[in-house]
Amino acid sequence: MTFAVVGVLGHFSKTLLLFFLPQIINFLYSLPQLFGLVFCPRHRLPRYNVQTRLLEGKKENLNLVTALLRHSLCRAALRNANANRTGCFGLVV
Amino acid sequence: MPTRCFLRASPQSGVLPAGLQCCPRSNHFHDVLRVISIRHSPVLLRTCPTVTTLVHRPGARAQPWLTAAPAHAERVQLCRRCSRPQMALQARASDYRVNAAAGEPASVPNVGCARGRGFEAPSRGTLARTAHDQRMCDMKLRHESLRHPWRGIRQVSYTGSTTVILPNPLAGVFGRVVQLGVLYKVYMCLLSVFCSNSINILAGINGLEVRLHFSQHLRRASCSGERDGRGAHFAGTLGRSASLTSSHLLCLYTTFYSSPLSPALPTSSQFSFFSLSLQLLSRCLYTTGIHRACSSATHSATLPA
Repeated sequence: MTFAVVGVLGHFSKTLLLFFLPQIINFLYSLPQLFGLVFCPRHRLPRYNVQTRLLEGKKENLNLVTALLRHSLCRAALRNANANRTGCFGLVV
Repeated sequence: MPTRCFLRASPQSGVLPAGLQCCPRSNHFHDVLRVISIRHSPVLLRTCPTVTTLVHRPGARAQPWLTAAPAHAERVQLCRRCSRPQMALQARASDYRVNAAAGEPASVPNVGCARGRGFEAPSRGTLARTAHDQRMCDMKLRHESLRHPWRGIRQVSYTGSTTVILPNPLAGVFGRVVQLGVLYKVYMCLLSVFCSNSINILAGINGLEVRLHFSQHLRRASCSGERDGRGAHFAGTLGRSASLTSSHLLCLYTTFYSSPLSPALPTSSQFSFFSLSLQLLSRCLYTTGIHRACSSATHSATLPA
């Protein structure tokens, strides 16, 4: 909201959308779920699995975070990071 | 402060102005009385900020499941099909057993909404959620996203230029400068909806909002065990709720132990300032909201301190 107000009042709202580019991609990616072509549960984000200590998402939930976390390369890196206890913050960002 | 005195008055203190009723469960004042209809049988609906109670209207057809426990029986839910705020039976099973003189009803009646049929009553073993939680959780996404343009519209008291300058490929078709007019304001509303919702996408990732998350759940976990009105309305629950406390504690646990950022953030001054100011803001908003509801219900009746 703050971003939107600042962007509108500062007349750089289109430039502001560049900042939200990942969100726009996420929106386009989620469109099948948003329009009900694919079943859309209430919560689409990955959940924390206590056993594996990983965030795990379902394949049918179409959003960027899930896609990223389900990527095989990313999963391997996450597991390594978890083992080293350095965390996955850099990967997520 | 008159607001504070007003809020703290309870039915036990006996200083209620005439005609004002207090919610038996939450010690808040009833806001409005509305008449709604459940399957041809009108009932009164008393609402207060945390609880909505159903009262059988005198003279209406008898509903044993409704009159069984009028004080603490039902709450409002949204119809699963048409999303209108309608009634659901969500009494605890014990209420029925104790109070129903004619014996426990064989099945929970199917409660419809104005558009009818379709509502499945929740099972009686369902954990009673608060009215606030239900309002938040059962809201359809399209209604939820409509909450933001209302806030946006207030910001769009914009009188500046509403022109856009088009880039080269489009300039040949539409002209270099396009006057959007009202559409520009629509665009601003939509932009504010988009921005406020898209930040929320990140909220599900542990670590990004750790500080905020942590303080909120800490507050709720500590408040939900208390029975007084203040604790109740902060926790969003009515009275002691062990499950709610434990769920918040679980959130605290997972937030704190799963996030790689957790050791770093509490020491960061700007993050704590941010969350503190957010909390203060929400408290102020909540207080003024209650005050408005109360004053509309009582027509500016005030209470002695």
